[in-house]
Amino acid sequence: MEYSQSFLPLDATDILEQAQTCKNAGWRFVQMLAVNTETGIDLIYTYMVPFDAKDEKAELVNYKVTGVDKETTIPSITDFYLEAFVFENEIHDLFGVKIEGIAIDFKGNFYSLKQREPMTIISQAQLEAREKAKKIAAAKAAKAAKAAKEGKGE
Amino acid sequence: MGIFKLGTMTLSSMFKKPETLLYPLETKEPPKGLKGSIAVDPSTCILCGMCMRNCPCSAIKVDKAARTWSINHFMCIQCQYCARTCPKGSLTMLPHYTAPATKIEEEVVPIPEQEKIAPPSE
Amino acid sequence: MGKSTIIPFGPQHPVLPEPLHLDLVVEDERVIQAIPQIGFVHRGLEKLVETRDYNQFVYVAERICGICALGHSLGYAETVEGLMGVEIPERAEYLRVIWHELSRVHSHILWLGLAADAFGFESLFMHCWRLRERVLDVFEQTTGGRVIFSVIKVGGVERDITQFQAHVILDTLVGIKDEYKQLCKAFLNDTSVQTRLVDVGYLSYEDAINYSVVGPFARASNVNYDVRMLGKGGYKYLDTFDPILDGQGDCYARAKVRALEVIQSIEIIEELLSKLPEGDISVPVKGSPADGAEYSNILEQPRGECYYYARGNGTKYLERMRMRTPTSQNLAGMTSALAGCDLADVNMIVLTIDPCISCTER
Repeated sequence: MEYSQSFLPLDATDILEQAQTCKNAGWRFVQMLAVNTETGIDLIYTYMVPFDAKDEKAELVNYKVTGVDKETTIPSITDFYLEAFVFENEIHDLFGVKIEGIAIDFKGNFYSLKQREPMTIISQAQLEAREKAKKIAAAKAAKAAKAAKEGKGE
Repeated sequence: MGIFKLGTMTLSSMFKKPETLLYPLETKEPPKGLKGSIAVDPSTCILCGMCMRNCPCSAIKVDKAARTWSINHFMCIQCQYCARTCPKGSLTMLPHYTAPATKIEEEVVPIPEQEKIAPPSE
Repeated sequence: MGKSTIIPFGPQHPVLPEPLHLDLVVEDERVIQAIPQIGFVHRGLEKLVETRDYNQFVYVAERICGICALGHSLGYAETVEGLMGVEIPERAEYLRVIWHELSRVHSHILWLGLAADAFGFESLFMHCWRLRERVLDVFEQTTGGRVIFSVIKVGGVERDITQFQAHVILDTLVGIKDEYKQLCKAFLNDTSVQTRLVDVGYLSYEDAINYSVVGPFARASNVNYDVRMLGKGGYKYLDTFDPILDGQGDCYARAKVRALEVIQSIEIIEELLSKLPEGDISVPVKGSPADGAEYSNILEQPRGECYYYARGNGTKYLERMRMRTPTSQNLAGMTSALAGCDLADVNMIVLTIDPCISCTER
């Protein structure tokens, strides 16, 4: 059987609609995760297209919501998929994203951490490594541009 | 038959050798690739510090000025990443079951100076 | 109609295998609702990916859980190889699957011993763990460790197995198979076991689909899903693979599915060992993942389907690594199976779901 995966973009206002479409079509909910980037937090919802043992291929679809910040309120999909309450509580505790309407809401006490929102704190060593990588990439791009110009000039 | 379901197993184990050893009178022979503890060969080490940078739990310390290589065996997780990335192959994993100890201390190994081998003259 | 009390079924309990907290809303010995809570073993391992590069993180990933140790390092290595576009040699794929199926055998035999111990059937518990010791001896001879192996790396595997070691594996498995079948018969055909397990903790097929449960928990409710039938990694070299299903949906069906999966795994190992090819065991991996590249991967662990996600940022440290384990997906199904049962059946239902809370919380 052939297995494939895809990444598709999604808007923050379409999350509930997408969940309803997937539920009506019988898709299976796989997981929900958050990534901390410089331009806000990315949320990724993953669904799996239902397949039978006699089918030829199976597909995993990842929907990416970008640019979520502290003020945005994300609607909860526990009305359609109850098992998402574990992931939504975890993302609220670790990343500080506001999600409203969770079916079983622990209100920040799911993990009971000493340090609030630990995944959004970037350590000093990581910042330095990123600065260095940016400088190396910029130098490489400048060198490539210079070589292309010289090649054209010849 | 509803009774004595484990009967065959129980009766036959009366005549077979026991599965356990009479430890500490008998000990088990450690197999060849067992993960025991890391040891360094002082004659080939060049104090480059690759093992110190690669260790995931910072158990190895290399002091180039004082010419010592030290390891804290209690922090080591026996992953063998240092032995695999050593450029000279000076680190080996000794296969032995570790004995309990009463104090946590580091093992410091002095690395003597290497004699410079002169290049063959034409 | 009595009034309801709340009984805490805490993280410390003599019969509970994992630190899980349940608030049971009870009315006259019957459980109406169960609210789970986790968070006792949270170690923040996903944050460690920022300070350990992608080669060192294999050793962190395999220490997430003791029972599914090889599964996590295998899933992580496959994800990073997909992220960087690395193809590993055939012999490495065969060896990885052989070790993974041995890990599944050891996990299910351990589970059978725990389930028998929760009943009070201690002699079966001792027999099961005696058989498990033989599997751990095989691991010690081939990888060097009993529980944590450190044998998988990004780009292949570290150690090879010789002809002699392959014979040792086959002899051990043949020896385990006979005794294991006797133990299964003793456990599954016993009338007191059947009185306690049949028709307890029922989860219907519709509920299993609605709550998206995975693993043997789902296959006991007739949900036909197993990642191994997708044919990824070394599983594409098998001739056929059919997941084991059972339509009853109660605790007895879950125990039966796990017991039969051991026999299936032993047959898979024997088939793969008979056609092991020659060749390299690893390829060298250079460079780092590209900036903004992302990849997702799924794998069938002993407890269900596990999902991995990786994103690179141009340096040798990954930007984000995420592991979604099967037990966090099954928590909603567990609360549904617990509703309406007797108070004395709670521990058996929680055990037949086979929770692994240290995987859930990382």
